[in-house]
Amino acid sequence: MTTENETLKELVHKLQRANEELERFAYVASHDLKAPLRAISNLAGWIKEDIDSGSVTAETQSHLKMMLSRVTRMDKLLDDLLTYARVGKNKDSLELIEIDDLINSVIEVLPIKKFEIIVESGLSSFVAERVPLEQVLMNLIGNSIKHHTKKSGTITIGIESNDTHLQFTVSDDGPGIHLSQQEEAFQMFKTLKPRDEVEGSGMGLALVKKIVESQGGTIGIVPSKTGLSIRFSWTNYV
Amino acid sequence: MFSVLLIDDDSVDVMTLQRSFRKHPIMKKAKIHTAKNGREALDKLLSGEVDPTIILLDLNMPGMDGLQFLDHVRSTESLSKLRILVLTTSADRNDIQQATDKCIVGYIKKAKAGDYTTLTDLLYHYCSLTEK
Repeated sequence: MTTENETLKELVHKLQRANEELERFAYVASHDLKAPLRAISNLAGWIKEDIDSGSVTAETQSHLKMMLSRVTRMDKLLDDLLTYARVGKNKDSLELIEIDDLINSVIEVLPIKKFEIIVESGLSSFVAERVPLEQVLMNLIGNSIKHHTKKSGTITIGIESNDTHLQFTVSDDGPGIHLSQQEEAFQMFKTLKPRDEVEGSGMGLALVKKIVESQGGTIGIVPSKTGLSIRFSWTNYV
Repeated sequence: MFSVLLIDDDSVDVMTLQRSFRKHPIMKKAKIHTAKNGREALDKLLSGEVDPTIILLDLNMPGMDGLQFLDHVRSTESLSKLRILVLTTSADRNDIQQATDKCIVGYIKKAKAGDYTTLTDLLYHYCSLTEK
């Protein structure tokens, strides 16, 4: 009887979470998806005014450029939203993953340039779904690089395990996330800086959280005096 | 002359307001200051860099958002009497309630470019009433 109750409780909990997510999405979509559309509409109007009055200037050109960049922004928002919705739909096969190999394939596709990557691991390999793990690491390391204020820095990846879970910690020496913004960091569409300053959909950490949770893990920001340190767990298929 | 502080993270929304002001015979002479979020705005106000006749405040911004900014302003003696008009896309009843509770001059929903003539007229009338 108790296992049935537990399953029911779990289902109810899942449903509540899903409903909360939907409500949040509806609220946020009306702001973040409409914003580029509103900008495009305004910019198009000004360009039309210039054409109608016969005075096409450098400002007109810059308005057109801004319009195109808003289109790209919206496109990316929708792509990232779709990726987010798809998390957990397809289960990949489990494979033996060598840590050096994993880190190398992640770093290969990122603009590492002058950044130093340090791996501190108690293990050399483990068994897990490779693609989602790569996605998470790519996102976290990519974020560290993107938000760093200097052209070089240090990113440390710590890997540990216990009987049930693997534990990863990605830490950097960048500007970090202010305490007041940490709570909302994993929410959908939340960016650290205005999109006009740093382009980004704001879906990165939300995606990472969803993937981690679909792998039976949890994720959070580790308190640190400097930089940013994110720790997440992942089911260990020993 | 009037001084207006626009607190908004979206550069096109800021441009839209600036263009509306430019078309108004009096408001075109107003000094316009901008800030991308509540924190930046607070810094400019506390340092004395900006002493606005009125503030236009967006609610959704990364960093310190509009409601948090309102909280800070209303609980800081030197800033508590600032006139603030909320200009946002949010039609959320909770946002409207929370903002109104913090004594705002008005709550206006962002619209397409053409519709800011009414807002600009309103701002002109308000500024000429309250300017010392």
